[in-house]
Amino acid sequence: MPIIEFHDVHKWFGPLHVLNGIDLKVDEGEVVVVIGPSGSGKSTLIRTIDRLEPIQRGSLVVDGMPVHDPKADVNALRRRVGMVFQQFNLFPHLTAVENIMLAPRKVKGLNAAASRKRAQELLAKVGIPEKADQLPVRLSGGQQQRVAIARALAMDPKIMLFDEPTSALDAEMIREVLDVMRQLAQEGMTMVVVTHEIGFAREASDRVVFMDAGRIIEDSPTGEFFAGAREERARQFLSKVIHH
Amino acid sequence: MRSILVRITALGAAVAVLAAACGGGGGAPTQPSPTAAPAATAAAKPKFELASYQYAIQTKGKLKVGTREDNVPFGLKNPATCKFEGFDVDVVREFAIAIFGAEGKADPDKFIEYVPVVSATRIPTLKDNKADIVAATFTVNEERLKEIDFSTVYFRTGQKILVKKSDTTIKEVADLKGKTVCTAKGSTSEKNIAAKNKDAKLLLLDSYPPCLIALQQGQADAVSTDETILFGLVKQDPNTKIVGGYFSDEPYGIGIAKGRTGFAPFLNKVIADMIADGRWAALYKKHITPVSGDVKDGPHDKGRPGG
Amino acid sequence: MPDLGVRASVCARGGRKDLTMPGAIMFEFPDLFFTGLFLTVQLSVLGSIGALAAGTLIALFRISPIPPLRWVGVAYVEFFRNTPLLVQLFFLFLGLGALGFRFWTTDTFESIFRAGAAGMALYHGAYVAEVIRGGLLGVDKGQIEAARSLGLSYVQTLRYVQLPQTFRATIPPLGNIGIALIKNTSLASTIGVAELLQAAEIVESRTFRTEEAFGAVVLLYLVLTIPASLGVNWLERRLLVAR
Repeated sequence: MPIIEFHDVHKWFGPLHVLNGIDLKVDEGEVVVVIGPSGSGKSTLIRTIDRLEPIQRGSLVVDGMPVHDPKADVNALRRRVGMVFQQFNLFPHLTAVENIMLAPRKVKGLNAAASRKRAQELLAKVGIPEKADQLPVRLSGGQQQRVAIARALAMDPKIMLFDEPTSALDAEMIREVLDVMRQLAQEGMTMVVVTHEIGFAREASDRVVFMDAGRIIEDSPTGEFFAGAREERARQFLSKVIHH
Repeated sequence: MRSILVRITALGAAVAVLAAACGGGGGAPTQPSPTAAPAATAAAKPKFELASYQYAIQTKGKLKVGTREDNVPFGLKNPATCKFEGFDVDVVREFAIAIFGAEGKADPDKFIEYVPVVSATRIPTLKDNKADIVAATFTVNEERLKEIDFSTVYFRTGQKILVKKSDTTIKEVADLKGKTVCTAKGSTSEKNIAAKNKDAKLLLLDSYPPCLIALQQGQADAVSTDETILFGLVKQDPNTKIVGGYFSDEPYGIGIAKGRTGFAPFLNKVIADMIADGRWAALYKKHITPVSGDVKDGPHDKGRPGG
Repeated sequence: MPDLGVRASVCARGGRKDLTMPGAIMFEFPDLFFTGLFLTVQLSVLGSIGALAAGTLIALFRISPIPPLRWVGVAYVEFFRNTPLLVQLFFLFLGLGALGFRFWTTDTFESIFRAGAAGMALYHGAYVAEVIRGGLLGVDKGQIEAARSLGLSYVQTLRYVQLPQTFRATIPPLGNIGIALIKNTSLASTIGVAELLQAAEIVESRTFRTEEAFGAVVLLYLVLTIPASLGVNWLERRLLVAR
């Protein structure tokens, strides 16, 4: 039973056909990594799942909710889908723990004590319990991204989306973020990850989706993909990324 | 209703727009031509003593006059023509003629620079030397004489009360107890009311037209100031009436700064001549009779109940 | 007339009567000056609160996704910013009066005061709206997406993410508007509010001690505006440290 189901999804930015007939299913508990050259539409793809980008044709059903339907309750959808961004996007006026508490309090109506307790647990889970009362500006990039992951987890989402979560980080910080993501994958979270981290894809994902020019070129189980991608373009891309 | 709104808009806008539309107080049309004036017509000008202030003005080529812009029928800047008109303004033009002679007679405004004043700015305007004279329904009194000099009295009136025609409760100053009375800030009217009836509530605005609107709307129960000014207000709104007797004596003089050698006697002579040769009576007929209905030939005391 | 000893001490030293300490005249006419000061403070406080409320609302209108609200916002800002405050005050006092609206009171002086306070709020609200709008648009788009992706609604995102940051970022310009507002309350004297400037005008017309009367008013305005400036600077520094 797929929890995310794209069927012939199209999207245009003006004349640019950024998503061109996407068909994709993600099962509950699956970890899917989306790779591809920049401009291939992979970020747009992941953003449509949360309806940060609306689609113009086709159907997209997430956890039973028709995301393509303009009347769908978008806030209800987003409560069930967590999103982690390349630029972390923490709220700079709130401390780490307040960043995590905001949505549980205002959206779920949790009280301050309960949401703070949960926020502390999540900070411990991502390895920075001691940073609870720091403002984002006092945190390193890796720490900020881990707070952002904790913030998304605080809503107890069924699906976590990661949009190039390590692209803005220095090399030494990438590892601490990937460790947290690996742990989540092991715990059985449904994850869709756009990344250039081939190592992460190889170790932690169930499937790899390769995109180019708005289309899914290849969609294979991770082992098969790395053993030898079927598609020439995927092989070329892979060889480039791995040699870097 | 609509007409009131239009007038309020005009009133408010007048403050901001008039100055701009009329080129900053009508300075431009009154500028004497710097080259032609002194040399060509020196012969036609009256001779004054070198030490006298009127000589200084004649040499300067300009008489700076503080007057009101919205005080029918004494001083008004006509929004249509941007020219000043009214009783006070015509008296001032006589002074200009007396100082500048034949050329002044041809076009007195050429030698006059108008400085707009409101009640409260009349004395500062003189003390700061922004105007040579202030002709603006300026009541001569002891306190003011400590600060400035005055000419002889060129007009005499007294304070009365203006109410709506439908009003039957206010008949004299004693009836103003607990009532809201509108008058201008910095005027003798304000002090007179405060002195005659301390239980009257004073609404102090910059000038009388807003007071009239406040009366029309019931924001004020009465407007009180010099009768001649009230005449102008009745003319603007026939649904108002003047009640009671004079409760003050308001002798108007031309205000001048202290220390102007020979200037007050000079002005006094011009005023006396105007009364003697009928020019004064003509001005009264032109400006005051249309609103008061009576005729006068000088600033007499007779028939004044208050005194 | 209460004499707080300022004048007496000068006279005791043989000083001339007009050589009083600057501002001493305010203690000779305490009713006028201090009632006036109190009214000025009231106008400033109510006007500032109103300007902040009106300005914030209009700023939200201006960035709203609903076009008619944006039009209302633009019309408000352009109208109140491009007409003189004096004209607006006259309209609120006499114009609305002509339409039968007296700010829910039958008392003339109360109604004038409320017209004055409303004028302060509406006029400065236009400037506040522009500052707040700039602040709201200055909040990084990524943060708004992050908030929305957590399930916060449009309004909740404004309320908990955009506005708090906006107020911090806009404290200096808002402070300047507040100080301008304090000074602009003097215009309320033209519609008959017996605030500081009118107090000075009355004292001046009764005593002809022009320099003293207006000198006292200048002192009293400075007593209001200098602490306001210092307060804004302090807030600004504090918030800079907090970042």
